[in-house]
Amino acid sequence: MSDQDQPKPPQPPAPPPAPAPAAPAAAKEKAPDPLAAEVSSPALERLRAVHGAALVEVRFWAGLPLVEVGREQLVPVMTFLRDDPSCRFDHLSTCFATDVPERAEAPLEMTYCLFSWPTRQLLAVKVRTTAETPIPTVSAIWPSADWNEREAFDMVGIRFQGHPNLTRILLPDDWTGHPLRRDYPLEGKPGDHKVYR
Amino acid sequence: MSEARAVVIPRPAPLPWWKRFFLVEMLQGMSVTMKHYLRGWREPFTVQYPEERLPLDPRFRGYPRLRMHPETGDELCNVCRQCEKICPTLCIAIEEEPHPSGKGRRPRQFTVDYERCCQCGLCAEACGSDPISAIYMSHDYELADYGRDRFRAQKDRLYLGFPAPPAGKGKAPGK
Amino acid sequence: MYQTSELEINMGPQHPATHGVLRLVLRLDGETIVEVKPVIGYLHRGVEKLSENRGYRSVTPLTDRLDYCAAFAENHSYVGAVEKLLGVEVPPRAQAMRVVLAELQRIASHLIWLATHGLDIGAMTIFLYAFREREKCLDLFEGYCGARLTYNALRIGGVPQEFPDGWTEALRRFLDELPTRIAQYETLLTGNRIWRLRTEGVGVIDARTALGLGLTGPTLRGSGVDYDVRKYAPYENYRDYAFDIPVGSKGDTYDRYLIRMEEMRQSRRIILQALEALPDGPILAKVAGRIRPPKGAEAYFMTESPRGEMSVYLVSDGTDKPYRVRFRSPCFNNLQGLPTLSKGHMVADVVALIGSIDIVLGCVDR
Repeated sequence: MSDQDQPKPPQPPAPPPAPAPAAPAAAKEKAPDPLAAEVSSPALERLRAVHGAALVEVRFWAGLPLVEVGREQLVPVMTFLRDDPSCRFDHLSTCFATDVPERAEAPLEMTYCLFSWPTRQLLAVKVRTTAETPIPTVSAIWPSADWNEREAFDMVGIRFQGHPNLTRILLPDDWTGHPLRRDYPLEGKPGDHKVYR
Repeated sequence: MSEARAVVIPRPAPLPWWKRFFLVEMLQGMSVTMKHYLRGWREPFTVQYPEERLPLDPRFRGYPRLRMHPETGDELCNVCRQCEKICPTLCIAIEEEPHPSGKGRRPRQFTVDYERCCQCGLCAEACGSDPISAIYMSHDYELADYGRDRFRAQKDRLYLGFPAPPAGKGKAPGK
Repeated sequence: MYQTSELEINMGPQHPATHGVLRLVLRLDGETIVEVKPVIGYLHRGVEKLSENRGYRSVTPLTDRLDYCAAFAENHSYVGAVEKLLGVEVPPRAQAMRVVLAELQRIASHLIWLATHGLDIGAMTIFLYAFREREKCLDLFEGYCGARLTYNALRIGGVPQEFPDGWTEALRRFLDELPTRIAQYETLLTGNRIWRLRTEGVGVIDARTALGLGLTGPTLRGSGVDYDVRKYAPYENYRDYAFDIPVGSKGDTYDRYLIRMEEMRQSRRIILQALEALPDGPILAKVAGRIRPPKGAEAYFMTESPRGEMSVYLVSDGTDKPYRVRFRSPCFNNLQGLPTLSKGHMVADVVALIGSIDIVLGCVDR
């Protein structure tokens, strides 16, 4: 974050910067971006029909449906997505955590990218939480979530309820802090990795 | 439009007893080895570095360096800072001063930290100088020295390059 | 009867057969493995954090350092994700050129896999031969983009430069001799009794378990699942090429070996088709000088890297730096299957198994 705000010294004489950022901003106010258009997704329709109450928000970007579900309904929704014949998301491609500090009530967000080979659909499921509230693990549904959830815990500090072995995975066990949090400085905190340098 | 097909790879049959008993595959393997061994006498693939060096490709990306205007001999860099901005390792630092001719700017000091540089070549592409890019990817790749401070290449070194490596005989087999 | 007690030993992180800095905590009963616990993170460089602090264009060189044996695949995946985020259409010529380079990368990566896998199991000769051919691949890459390992060979919107003069001819020469080379490797290994005893029946995994564990690439296809991103979620113009996806029948290390050997031949087939029908036209689409995708844009782009499904998830917040970059590395997910694969085998088989799932630690730890 500190690096991001770093002022870049003098004005560059490159031509593009001035008009480029203005164009998408203006387009967004007038009409929704064509990339955000809704695409047909049989899995999403089934999900809406069966678990409509669990869906908090549905967005689209570049053909990817982004579905936000409530914390409590995560496991039923995921089990449904895996088992339903028109969904069959038997491949949890990845899942990862994001820290969104601007959203004070639930700053941490977990994203699950599901891919279904039989039906060739892609779906991103999101769930929001806070640092204190654990979210249920999906490692019982897809064993591949095991390490990915450990990484989410390691990097952002989301806790998973029912996870078989929720320990740090990439960082040393005695590390303090979660590096992918926005308030974590890019080059680390002074006391953090003195030992490992 | 053609779709990729899935094909089950056939597995070879289990080894027959005589193959298990006699070391046929060893002889087979040794025949390949011998063939290459004999060929190796005729045309060795190895290059005796550092006496011999492989010729570098024209597009080879070594460490970035600066160059002068090919005709006027003036400094090309006009301190547009595009290289500084795009560098993924933040290894470029430019101090600027007004150009003595009164028009534009020129770098008072130009520092590239060769320890951080990852030779990605983005700086040379982003460079906005005319008619050719001021910063370019040289063919220098050997970088050994006695002190860390020596790797913070400044203008003198960026223009003149490194002390030349011992001249190679330059015969490169295999190319 | 006698009683044995379980013993816990460390393999790695400085072990020549672990392909980098992987540490395995093995719990052994005699020489039989009771449990394997991979300990990773020794090569963690925080690429995801770093990417959040760099401009969109400056992240590409960082992705080179993930899977340093197949840097092109990582470039491809990241650049593709940004293009999807912006809705940029890559010109047909650039698409075909990307396919050529991606398949050449697959050959190079499978060759280094073959070399090191052979070396791990004890076939020293294959190491030298496979490295020789890989060297030629690297020469081709050097001729194209100027680097031998960390290519940075793609730009957002296409490819930065045309193939140089004489490059396609050199590539054709290499492809012409490749089948005889592969036949030589097969002479050394496929029928070799030691090789077969060391690999057949080792690390058998059935399709269901492999799917659940998130294995992808040749590791999964060994179990008979034909999941290949090039087929199921085609990117670039992979739809236009005819190629086979080799799948195994038993799901053991030998199957995975056979698959990778066949994939090299198939990659050759794809390159030849792509070179034959290389369209003319621009190689770089028009992209704004400063890339600022709108706020709330998110994209997921999957590619088939030599090791499996390599994908990138990008989130934008409307600034010129990505808000969140997620690299789904195939090695990280494939390594997750190692404990399941190696249960009940001998210590020496673990070495064969690490080779057979083909991990690169830079990709595992990111």
